[in-house]
Amino acid sequence: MAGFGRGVHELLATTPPIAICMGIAADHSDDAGSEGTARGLVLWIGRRCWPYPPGLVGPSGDARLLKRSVYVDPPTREDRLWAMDVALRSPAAAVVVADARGLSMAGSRRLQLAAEAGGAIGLLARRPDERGEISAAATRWLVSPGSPDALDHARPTWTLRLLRRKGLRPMTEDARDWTVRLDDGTRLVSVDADAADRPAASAGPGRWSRTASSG
Amino acid sequence: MLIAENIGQRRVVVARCERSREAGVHPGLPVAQARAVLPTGTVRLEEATPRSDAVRLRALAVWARRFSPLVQVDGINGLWLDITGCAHLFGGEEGMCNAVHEGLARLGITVHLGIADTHGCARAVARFGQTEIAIVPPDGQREAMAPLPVEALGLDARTNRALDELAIDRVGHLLDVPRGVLPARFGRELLLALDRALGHAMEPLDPVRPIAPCRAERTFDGYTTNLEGIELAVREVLGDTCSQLEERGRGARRLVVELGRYELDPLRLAVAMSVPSRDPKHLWTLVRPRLERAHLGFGVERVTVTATRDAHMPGAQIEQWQDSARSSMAEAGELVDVLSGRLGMNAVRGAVLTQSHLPERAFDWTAPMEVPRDDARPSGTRPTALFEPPMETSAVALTPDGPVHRIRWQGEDRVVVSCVGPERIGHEWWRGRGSTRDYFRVRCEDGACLWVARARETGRWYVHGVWA
Repeated sequence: MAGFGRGVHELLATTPPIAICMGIAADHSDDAGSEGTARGLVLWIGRRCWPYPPGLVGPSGDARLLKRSVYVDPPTREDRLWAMDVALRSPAAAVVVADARGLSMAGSRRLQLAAEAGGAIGLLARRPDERGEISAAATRWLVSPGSPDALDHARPTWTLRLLRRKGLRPMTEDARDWTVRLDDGTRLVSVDADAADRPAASAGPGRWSRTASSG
Repeated sequence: MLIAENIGQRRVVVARCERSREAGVHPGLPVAQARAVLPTGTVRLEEATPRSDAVRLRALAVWARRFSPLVQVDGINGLWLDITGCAHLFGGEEGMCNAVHEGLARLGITVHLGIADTHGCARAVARFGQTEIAIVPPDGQREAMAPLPVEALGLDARTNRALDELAIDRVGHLLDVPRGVLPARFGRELLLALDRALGHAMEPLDPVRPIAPCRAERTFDGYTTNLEGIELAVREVLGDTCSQLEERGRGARRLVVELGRYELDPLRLAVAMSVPSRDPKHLWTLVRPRLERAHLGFGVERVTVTATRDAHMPGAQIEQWQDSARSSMAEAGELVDVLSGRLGMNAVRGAVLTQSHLPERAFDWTAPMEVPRDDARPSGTRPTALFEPPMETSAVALTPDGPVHRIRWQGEDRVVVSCVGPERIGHEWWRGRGSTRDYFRVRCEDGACLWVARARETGRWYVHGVWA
């Protein structure tokens, strides 16, 4: 999941894409971060995007992600924006997942700046009908359930479609879809036919940015 | 109600309630025997907590300093107050007993009181006397002690046994024995205890000394409403408090900022920290929003900061030695404090798993970053989001207990392409009424994954969670 660097990313889905956020959080809140520093906390801001704690542990019983998780419940929209801003600025936060319905352009810029200052990853859950809203987020994705004729019939899958990436022109239709599922823990693995045996990191959005810039 | 402790292989009663006492349960009795004596179904058993009991007793000793400046902890459940020269403040010894009795009753504590010239005698009449309040007149130790059992002297078990073998069971019997033969038979301890109780030997004191909380204050030259000036003073006083904390190797868990206002009650602003802190900058970020909203009235004359709760926090030099783990812990604590400072403690929480199989009881809310008490695991594959309460829906199954075929979700009828289950989850009968549910992991035609439950009693269908 190397594609989700610091900055804020918008995920559009009818129900907040908690599994995707869990996978990204599991990848980015390890004891040894990319710079060898311990950045721990994963904040879930807004009841709508709170994960169910047993689901956060996963069948393998690995409770590390749950231990790092902080459930935040701001009562109003202003408080929600404030909490996201504070969390993204803090050096303690690794990943900030927030219910960001109805976020304004000014709000998204404020969050993007906060994330750049603090170095955390912000994941903003928005609704698919907000697709037309402009925003300062680094990327915008559309998340939908993966089609059930994928390899494993019972296991949930999701399709991530990159709608926009700051500084890059739109990509071709076939290059921008990416299907993932949760592994036995809380990590995401790619189920792309051509990348089935490669780790998700190399098959992630990094691939598209290269495709996009070369094509 | 019984409180039990494991001693070796056995579980024995260490304390019991009044009703159990009447039924004949005494400390030291194995729990199984106590259960046999008491009516079935009425026994409430709790684990003994000697360490926290000791902490509470010490706190009670500090509380008891309102009656006397010299308070000493006596055993695991006693306090000894040196009331020399204090009793007249409460209207004599009887008045003092009443005051202590009332004060403790308000705290929900029952008490046996004894007053005597010596520690040993007071202790003996309080613990072994027939009455709840026993006041021994001056020089009346001999008469007061004589009818008491020899255990009242507080001797070790071996001496008690030796006395028992000689059928000496009252202190009075001992007093009749010639002094000279006692040390040879029972050691010097017995004689010393006897002498101390009767007032012939000195008894050393080890009173509790309460540690005053870290506290600093500034007084203005007259009343001021200048917010900037007050802010500056608060920051200075915070700095003073923090350096006091550092000297003691402590960090504040709770701070009270008190503003002494003109002709108004002092204004108290309390802030709580999730991780002990003595960083003036961090504490200031917590206090400032409270201060800005504070009602200063006609002016503030005095600013006081008190660390009302503190916790062990090693010095800065140690922090340098260890890696960044501690400082990242402090950073996490600061973030949590800032969030809960504005949103409230209940709006910023962590979660731990519990042993319950019921989906809605499978976790507990805790303070953020709490370390779980035990390693509970989810009892199966669980969804990423749970609906509370479950959403009622309609579904079609091919057989009454069989897999789901169609389900209505988000206003649409959907064909199910895959259905894993059932996983039967029974209600917890000890919590009263409830129904057993069959859970299915259902995948719809469009790819959506739902956690579907059927209540066995009613046959109704619910969507309890989704893999979102």
